[in-house]
Amino acid sequence: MNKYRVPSSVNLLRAREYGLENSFIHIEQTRRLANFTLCKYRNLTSYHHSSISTMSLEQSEYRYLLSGGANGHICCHDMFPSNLVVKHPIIFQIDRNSNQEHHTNNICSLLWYPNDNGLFITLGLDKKLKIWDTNRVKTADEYEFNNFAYSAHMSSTTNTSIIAIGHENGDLRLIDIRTGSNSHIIHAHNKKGICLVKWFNNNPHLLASAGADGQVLFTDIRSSRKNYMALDRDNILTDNQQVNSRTTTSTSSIAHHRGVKSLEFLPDNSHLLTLGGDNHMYLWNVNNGQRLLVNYGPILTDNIRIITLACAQMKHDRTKSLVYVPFGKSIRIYDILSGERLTTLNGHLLPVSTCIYNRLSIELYTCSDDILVWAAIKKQQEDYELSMKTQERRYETTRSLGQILNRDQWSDDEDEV
Amino acid sequence: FLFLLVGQDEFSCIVIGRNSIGIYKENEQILEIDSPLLQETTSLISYCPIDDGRRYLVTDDCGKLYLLILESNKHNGSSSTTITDLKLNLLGEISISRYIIYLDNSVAFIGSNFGDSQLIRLLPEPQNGSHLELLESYTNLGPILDMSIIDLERQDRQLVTCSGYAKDSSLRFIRTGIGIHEHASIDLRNIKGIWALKIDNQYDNHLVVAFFDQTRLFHLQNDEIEEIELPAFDFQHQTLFCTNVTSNQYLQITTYSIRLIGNNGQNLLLEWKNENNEITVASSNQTQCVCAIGNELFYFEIGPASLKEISKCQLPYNIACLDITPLNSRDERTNLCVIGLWTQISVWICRLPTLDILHRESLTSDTLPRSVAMITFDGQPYVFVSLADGPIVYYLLDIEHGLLYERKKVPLGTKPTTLTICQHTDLSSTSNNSRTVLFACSDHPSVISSTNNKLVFSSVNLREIVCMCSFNSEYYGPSLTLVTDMGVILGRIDDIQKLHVRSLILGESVKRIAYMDEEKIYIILTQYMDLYQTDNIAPIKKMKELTEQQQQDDAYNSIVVLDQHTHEAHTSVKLLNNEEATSLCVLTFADDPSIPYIAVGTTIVFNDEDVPKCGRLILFRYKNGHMNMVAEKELNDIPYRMLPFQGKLLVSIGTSIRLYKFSLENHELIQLSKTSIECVECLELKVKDDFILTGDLMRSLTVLRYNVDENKFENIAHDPHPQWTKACEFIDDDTFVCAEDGGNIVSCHKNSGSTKEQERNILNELGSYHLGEEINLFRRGCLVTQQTSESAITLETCILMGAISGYIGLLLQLPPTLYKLLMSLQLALAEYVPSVGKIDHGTWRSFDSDGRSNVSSGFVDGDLIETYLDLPKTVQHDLIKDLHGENNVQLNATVEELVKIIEELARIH
Repeated sequence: MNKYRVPSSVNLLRAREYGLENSFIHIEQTRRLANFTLCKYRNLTSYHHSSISTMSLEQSEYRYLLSGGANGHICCHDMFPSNLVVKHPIIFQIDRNSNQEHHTNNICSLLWYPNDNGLFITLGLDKKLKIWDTNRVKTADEYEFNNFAYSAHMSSTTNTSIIAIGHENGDLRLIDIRTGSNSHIIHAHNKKGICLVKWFNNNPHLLASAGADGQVLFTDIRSSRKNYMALDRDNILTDNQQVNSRTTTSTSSIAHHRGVKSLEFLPDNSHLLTLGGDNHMYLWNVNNGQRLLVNYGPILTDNIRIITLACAQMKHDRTKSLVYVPFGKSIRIYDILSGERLTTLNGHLLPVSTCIYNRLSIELYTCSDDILVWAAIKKQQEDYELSMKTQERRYETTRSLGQILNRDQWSDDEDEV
Repeated sequence: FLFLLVGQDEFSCIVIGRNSIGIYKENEQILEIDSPLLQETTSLISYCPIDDGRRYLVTDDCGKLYLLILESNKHNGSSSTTITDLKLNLLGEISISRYIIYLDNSVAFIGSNFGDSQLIRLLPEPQNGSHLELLESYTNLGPILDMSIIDLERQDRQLVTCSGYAKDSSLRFIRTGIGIHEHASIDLRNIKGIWALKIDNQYDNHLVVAFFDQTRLFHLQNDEIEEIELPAFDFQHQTLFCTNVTSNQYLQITTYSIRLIGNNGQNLLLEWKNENNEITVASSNQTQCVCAIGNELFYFEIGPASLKEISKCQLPYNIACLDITPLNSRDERTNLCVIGLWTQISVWICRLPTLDILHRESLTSDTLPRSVAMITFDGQPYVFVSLADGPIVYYLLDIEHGLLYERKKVPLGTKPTTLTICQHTDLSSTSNNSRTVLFACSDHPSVISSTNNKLVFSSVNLREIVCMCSFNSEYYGPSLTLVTDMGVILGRIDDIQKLHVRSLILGESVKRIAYMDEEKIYIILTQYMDLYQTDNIAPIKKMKELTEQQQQDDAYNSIVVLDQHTHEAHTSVKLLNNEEATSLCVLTFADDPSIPYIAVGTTIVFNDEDVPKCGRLILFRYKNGHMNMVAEKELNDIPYRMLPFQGKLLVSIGTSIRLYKFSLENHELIQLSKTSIECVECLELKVKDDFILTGDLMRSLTVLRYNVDENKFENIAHDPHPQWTKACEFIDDDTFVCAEDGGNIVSCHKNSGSTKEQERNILNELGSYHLGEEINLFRRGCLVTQQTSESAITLETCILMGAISGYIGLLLQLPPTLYKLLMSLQLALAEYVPSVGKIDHGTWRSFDSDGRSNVSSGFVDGDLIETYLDLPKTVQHDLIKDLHGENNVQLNATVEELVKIIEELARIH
């Protein structure tokens, strides 16, 4: 926790005024990062009736949040403004009542087009991938597959148009949305299937895919080889010679003993976090495939098929990097490089599947059957409650306010730290 | 820690750490320096090698300059050397440096962020305990922490900035005005008058200097000045007037007599004197001369070796001043004489040579006319009269009838003003044309000239001028001699008004400034840090107030009151330990409108605390050099900004904005209202009428209104985008500008006219622009005053901005038509004018902030637009041939119109 201590805000502001501090924003972000608390008075207009399987935040304004439910319903919330008391409106929704082109089964992947928010891509368990025009909420293009696809991803580098899709039979399919071709298939994994695909952050040709058998493969789509690297949990970065010798003998290159549930590149582009069904989270160096010896402890992931982790890394100091990991009904915050558990956020009533970090407003969005917002507003919230209570005493405030105050007092549980 | 250098002959490097220096060699022990100069708190900043690579200049963050010497012993026979020892010597003190570069010939340049950059020479032998000689220093205003625009009594304004850090901290007084370039100076005191003479030369080469009871003559040859005595001149009396007159003669009028001198000053040709009385005032031109003795006026005509008394007359009162300068500078004579009178304070015009009174004009003033002058500007003759208490009255003059009309009065100085007509030569223009200007010498010296039939008063950046004359020197070119109370300056003045900066070194960091008009004082918040202190510069506050105990503190904040004119510290108040002043304002409360109060917001900072948890609001009353604390209020958060608001005190405290009133009975600040919490940290606060604009740490802008009846803040509109705001300001009621952490400025618009409430509540982004400067603050106002009434631009919306780099920018709202024209011109110019480093103008100006980017819009780049003036005529014409606005609408503009507009724009900064 001490790592995330920052100078006193007065000193920091003074330093900024004198031009002594160039990474003011990042330091202020750091101050907030580890101090998230539930925003009790921020509600999203409720929509989903089933559990929410995935969410996606648009990357040009960091404003619109897509969420997809297990019943195939999709909805988009406007997350601005990030005030203390606010109800975020639904911008649009896609379900059987409102849109004929809706998905009929669980939503596996939601993707915003990285360059602007005029387009988004959805993948459902109805074997369909749809490309939507955001402004009209109509499909612009649709692809139907013969077998299930569990994951789709689009590279976030500019000028890319290729969507990678992982199929249940172990095939990697590449779709170029510019030409509409969907025929490029790489037989990457074995028949157990692919759980997750993810493009590298900084390279539009490199692709990471994770199989249900626990394999994590790196593929260069330009080369004819199946993959150029397979992550091996025994390939460990260490100074200990004994450990090293053991790795060389190992032949099976498996990243996790069971299926991989999460695959997340760090913003520095050189590390990868994987979370497996074997309840382990591993940190990898993507350049040489070595596993860094960081112990996060067991992370229970039962029931949830695919988990989205949220990573936050400070630009001014790469060692200050956090990961928000769904852990049953709570969210745990770990320091990535040391594995130290910083704090746990409690608030959901059902297992959490997705965490999304909004680095512009410094908030965390998490979902189980509802979507919650977390931000570093503990003090404001306390002040607000205090002022509301005093007002209540004065005027006998209306019932709606009473309702707000009588809500369950969820909060993050810092005692566990 | 910081950097390393590799030696030449062997594998070694010097590592300069924060407070250590060592040499690391391959396979050898580390050689580390052990010097008392390097203490725990030292932190070295920059270094540079001196030619041979054996010596290095090293600077630290306190502005000390060290010399690092590598001592080596040569191996016998071989050329290789080994470094055996390191030595560190203190050379002296400089500005806190960011970079240091050794140039050549022991001259080094110091680039400073916090003070003036300097050019220094290293001396082999110490002088006054320092091995340095300061050759030149280059003004740097950065970082600008706060500034205040102050209307001086006269037309012009002064900008005071809080600049610099630690020991290099200073207040900078910025004014537009005419600067003086000094060629030479003579140390002479108590001068009453000065005249230039051409003796045996076509250039001015002699100076006649009048003192109370004597006259001295100086001869200038090249850059040498010597005092000489020519036999025909009278040196025993005070000279009243002296000039070259017709046929190579000289006229010297002293209190005793009028002397016509010929033969290059050798022979006295004629002398006229009045035995009974002294001559009091006199004036002359090439062929005419007038002088007054009490209330008697004499008129003479000058010919070759002749000085004829033509007429004389008696006026009812004593004559205070007179002038017979020809209205056309090529003429040798005039037929009008202007006279200023004592007692019946008035200006009279009389006809020459008859001395008939043509016109009497009462000055309707209590003070005497001090000098009069007739001058023609743009073909229009004027008569200027300066009064003894400073102001200037001027009339238009009807030459035929000698009538004065259209009286105007301009306040200038506060001391008696002397008017002198002089020739001013534009050095910048190639034609070398000289124009006649009127120089008003006083404690606020000004040059009066005319452009486009409009008189322009430009202030000269000298504290006080007693008298002056133009001096067309062979050696220096056309120049002026200016007499100040310190001596005579021979120099040249600028052709146009420019920004001029004077600095007041404070010796301790200054953060905020406020100006109290009632008492003519500046109030500044300073922070003293022992660590950065040096012996040379004492902190501004009075030393006597520092007791033993206080001096032990290594850091403390204080409130200092400075006099506006003398810049002396009247008084200072020291805050508690660890207490840091954050905000300051001067205000009057509605309940007590007679007395201005000083409000200071402070916070108590403990370094181990994440966010300060307590602070104070302190209210002071200032009277007769004493600050009295009248009220104090404890706070639980940081008061970032405060402002007077409808006779109350508006403070942004942490997450909220609060309004206080002052209760006279209890001497207490009473909180009236508080915003419901919507902000993260409310850093910036601005007020316009009922409206309050706040800038949040990370949530962009919010507009509030204070409802007096309900005593409540109403949320009017806000910008929903997260944005790290640094400063904000109102442009008008519905438009706002804010500066963002990434060096961008953004303008927002409030859609008041919308029928939907939701739309009215949202601030829409109008324009965004990458400035490339980290703006610390906006201030309404501008340094120049509106000169011409029929101008296309109004200065009401001018906003000055100050940045960390010392940049001061001016924002101006353009009318829509002009905006369209200039915007399309900008596009055309961006293509034509080559940019620095081939960075495309559009790319450079496009908004770019941590993760978000957007094309620049809504702002016109003034720097780029002004390059249009420097383009050749044909290019100017080509560029605007097909200017298109939005939707390809053809914009018609002629080159002349455009140049006029741009010149006008250029003139306001």
